[in-house]
Amino acid sequence: MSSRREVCIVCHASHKAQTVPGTGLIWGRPLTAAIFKTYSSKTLKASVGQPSASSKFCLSCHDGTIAVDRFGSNQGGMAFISGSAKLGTDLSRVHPVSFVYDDALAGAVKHLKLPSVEPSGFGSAIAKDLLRNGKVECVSCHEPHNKTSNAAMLRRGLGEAGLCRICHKAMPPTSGFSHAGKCGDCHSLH
Amino acid sequence: MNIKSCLTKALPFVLLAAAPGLVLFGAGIRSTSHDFSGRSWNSSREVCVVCHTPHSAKPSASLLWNRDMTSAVFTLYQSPTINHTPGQPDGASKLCLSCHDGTIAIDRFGSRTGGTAYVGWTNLRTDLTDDHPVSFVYDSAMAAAAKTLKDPAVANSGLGGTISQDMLRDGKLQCVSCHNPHDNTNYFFLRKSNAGSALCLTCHNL
Repeated sequence: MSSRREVCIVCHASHKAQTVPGTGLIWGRPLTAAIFKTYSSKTLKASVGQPSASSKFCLSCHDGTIAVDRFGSNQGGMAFISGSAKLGTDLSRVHPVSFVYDDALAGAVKHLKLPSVEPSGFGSAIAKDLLRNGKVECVSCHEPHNKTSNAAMLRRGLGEAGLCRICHKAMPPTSGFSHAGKCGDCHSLH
Repeated sequence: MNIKSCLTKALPFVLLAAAPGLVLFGAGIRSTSHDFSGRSWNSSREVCVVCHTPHSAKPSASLLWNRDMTSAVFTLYQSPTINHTPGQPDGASKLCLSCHDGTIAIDRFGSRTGGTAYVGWTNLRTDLTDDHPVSFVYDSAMAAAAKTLKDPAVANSGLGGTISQDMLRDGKLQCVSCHNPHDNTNYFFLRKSNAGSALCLTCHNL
């Protein structure tokens, strides 16, 4: 198959897909069976559990446990993800995923926008455009087909008033400390 | 009937036979896995009869179909991100599935009962949850809602016209949107080569 230089086939299969029925994407790869260490924080109000199906699509390569060249009938094993793209199975230092982000959470956290009504900047509300089954997933921030040409295939760049600010409100000064500047100056997403 | 009348009637066929590259009618399907003319169960040695017949076609089918239609109820592809309305396979897809769901023998056609030959690795079974969906309306409105699909009314199919004109049947995506059962020039009987995933990218806007 590689001799036909197909692009889509490494992740998608038009027939004999390996998707768990109902999760979609006619996924052509096995799903990771790893148990992940999840993000936790004293200020976290969301309920963060194991990654759901949507993010498991991504993690099946990006946790480093399944070879990139393992798809369809290819057993693979020659190519594994590496470098900064390899998240491993410890997600405790990664922006949480697979948690419900609804208006109730936004009300409890106060610096999160109401996902059912606030615009995502992509045509509709945050919940409609960016969430999957009401949850934040990898694809909430990343567009895996590189349609945007942003670094890390982000749906929006990380500059001021960029990606983070779609969901997170601007932070007011806290105890005299000003949050001016880019989020990434202090926070690290991966 | 005189000689001149005979020749006049025969001339078009003579010319066609002499045309470079055209040796036999049905050349595209010959020697493909859809060519059953050489099978032991096909005493007629005909190519087309295993699917088509000029007379006494099966009443519930189109395309002068010579085979029983599958009576299976299929489990449909489901996904949280689809924008089409799923439905049981219909139209041309139901004709394909009458072999490719594995429920009807290949050698069951016309008045033959058959039962000795079934599809092998191309058996999609009646569980279509692992297959690209078919038999759904693919129109401009659906494409606009999906955002990652091209507008079939204007997008170029690469086959001469638009996606709607060349690939859809009654506005629906069917098996024959991607496959041409009579021609295996492109592997898997694809209507256009999928090198570089060009077939996928005809409709999917990525």
